[in-house]
Amino acid sequence: MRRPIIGLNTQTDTLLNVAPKNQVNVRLEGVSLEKRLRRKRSSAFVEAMTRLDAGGVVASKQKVQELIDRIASEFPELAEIQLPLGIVSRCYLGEPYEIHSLDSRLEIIEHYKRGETAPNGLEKARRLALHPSYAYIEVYTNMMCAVTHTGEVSIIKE
Amino acid sequence: MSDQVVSRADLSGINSSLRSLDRTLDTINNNLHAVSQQVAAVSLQVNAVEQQVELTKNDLDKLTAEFREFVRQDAMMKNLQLAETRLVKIRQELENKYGHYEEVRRRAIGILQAVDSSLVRKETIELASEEQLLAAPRYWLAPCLVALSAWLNDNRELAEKAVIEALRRDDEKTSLFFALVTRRGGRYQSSSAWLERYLGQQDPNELKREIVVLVDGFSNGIFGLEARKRCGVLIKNWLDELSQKPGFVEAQREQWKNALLAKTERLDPSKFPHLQQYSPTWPQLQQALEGAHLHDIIFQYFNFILMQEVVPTKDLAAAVDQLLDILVREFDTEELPLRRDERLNELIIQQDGDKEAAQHLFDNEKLVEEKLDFTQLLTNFAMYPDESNASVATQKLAVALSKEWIKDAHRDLTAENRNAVPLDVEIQLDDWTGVSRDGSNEAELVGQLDQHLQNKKREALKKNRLGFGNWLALAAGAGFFYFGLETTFLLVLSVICVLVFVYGLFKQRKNKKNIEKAFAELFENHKQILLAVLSDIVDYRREYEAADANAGKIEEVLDPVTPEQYVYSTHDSARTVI
Repeated sequence: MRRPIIGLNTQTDTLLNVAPKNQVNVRLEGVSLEKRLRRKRSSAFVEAMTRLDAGGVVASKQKVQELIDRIASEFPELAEIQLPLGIVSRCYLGEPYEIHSLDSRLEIIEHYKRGETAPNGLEKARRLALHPSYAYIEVYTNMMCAVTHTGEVSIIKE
Repeated sequence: MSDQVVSRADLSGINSSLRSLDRTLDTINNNLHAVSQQVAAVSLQVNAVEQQVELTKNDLDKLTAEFREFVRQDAMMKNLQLAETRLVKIRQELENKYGHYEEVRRRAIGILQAVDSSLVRKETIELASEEQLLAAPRYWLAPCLVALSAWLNDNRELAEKAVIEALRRDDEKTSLFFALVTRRGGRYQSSSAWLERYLGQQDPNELKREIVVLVDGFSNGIFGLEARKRCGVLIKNWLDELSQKPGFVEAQREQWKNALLAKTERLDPSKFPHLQQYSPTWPQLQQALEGAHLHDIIFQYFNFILMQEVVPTKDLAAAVDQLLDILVREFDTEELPLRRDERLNELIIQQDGDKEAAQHLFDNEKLVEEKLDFTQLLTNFAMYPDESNASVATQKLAVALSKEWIKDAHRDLTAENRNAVPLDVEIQLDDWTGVSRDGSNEAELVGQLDQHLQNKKREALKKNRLGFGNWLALAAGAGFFYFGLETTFLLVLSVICVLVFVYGLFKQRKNKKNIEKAFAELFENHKQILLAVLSDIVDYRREYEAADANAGKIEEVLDPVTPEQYVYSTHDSARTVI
């Protein structure tokens, strides 16, 4: 179960979802996990991840939650702990901002100026995020996935 | 009451003692003051010595680095010379130990061609073959020659005996040999039977290097239509079988990454001289740029392979002879240890004596192994065609079969390289350090450098003050003048002391000017270097960007490639003629 955000939604809706949902039966590890992460990302997902700054400098909690949900639904086979620590991409808000990140653990979108260090291990993605060939970078605990605008994935292990 | 007279105590002695004590205390005080001043002077000297030690340490560090580099270069030079000598020795040993096989090898092709032209009597062929059997015991090819000559003489019994002996010595090579010989003679059924026998013994996880002969025969269209189909299915099955193994794709990616990285060329040492000299970030910058240049090297390499024209041999017999020549010459297991040494020494020479780099390349290329899996062989055919005896057609086929792994490996290499390019470039001029990303912050850096040198100048000027000796001379001069108004000697001494002070003052002023001049020159000099380094950074970023943009060309050249387009059927039309 995903972590609910306290105070965001006090109403309980009962929805009948008939869409087939993949269950995490066997936890992917090692080579099979890498194989899954190499799979091409859907264009809608890439599009969503490249528009982290669409809401301006401050993003609403609802928007952040939507994006985090998108990540979880893009990787239904992964356990929560295996999902990206965050998404980093080039910031188009203009100077002085250089990159921005969606921190999945802290559930915030943050914009970083040049020379300002992104916390929680997201800083390591800055170089690739600034490269025009990549739409965004997924940061995991021991690797990064650089995703192109067409959804192709390259893995950089640590 | 009697009057008592109390005499006045005489305290003069005590007074004088107290005065004397006071004077002594003054003297001690003066002495202490003098000692304190001397300690201050010593402290200044210690500071000066410390600076000298620091300078000497820097010089020593530089010298140590230079010495180490010299030792490294010297060792590399010696390794190079040693490798050259060893290579000659190994080749001599190969010649001495296995030279007599050469005669057998030449005769194998010789017999086939002699039969074509019908210029040699059958008895001569028979005799020659039998002699070879005696001359080369244990060698698989010798009984093959006897079988061949017996076959030509219609001596079935001898032919069968010889074939059994040849199969006993080396089943796989004998099967492949006769598959080719019978194909050359137009015996399709026999050729298929031999080929089946050979293929039946193959395991895609452990193939011997001579499989190149089969793949070459397949890609060059030497085998007939049926055999070609059979080989096509077999290759597909092998790849399917290998793909089922867990971690196969990952292993392929790593294998190809290593193969592609082996094509890296060293950067021209004359490029970006200022960055090289004044940036501690240079090693990372150099490695990243070499990695970016690799895109074009790889593109040119694959483009050349794929664009190269396959020139068909004039007829099937010549094509088979070429394959037979490779089969009998290149893959004898007995020679493997020496062949391995030969390859390692070749690599040491290629790496200019860098043994570690050569060993790394040797371990990764896996060219001279007894048994390899099919995909490693495909990598070898594509990347080391000469060493693995692959023809152009086989090279093309290997690239086509491996293209997805090549693309994957290259994509990862590209991302790793892009991630390794330093965002900020550090610049170090003596003890000043500045940072630039793209060389555009010239004014800011010049300002920082100026500020740094101004501070250093201030410190230097602070140290350039009159010493204790000078002030003592002035004090002594004044004292001598006061006490020596009537004594010429003391007056002369006073003048000398004042002169010493004035000289010190003059020297201090002169030093001040020198310091200011030296710092102005230093600033001008450092500024010029800084501008040159910034200009190098601009050029570097431009060159990197251009080289990095070539990354996409590899997918462009590989995307349209399919294995089917590189399987030639050159000799099929000639089947009816042979």
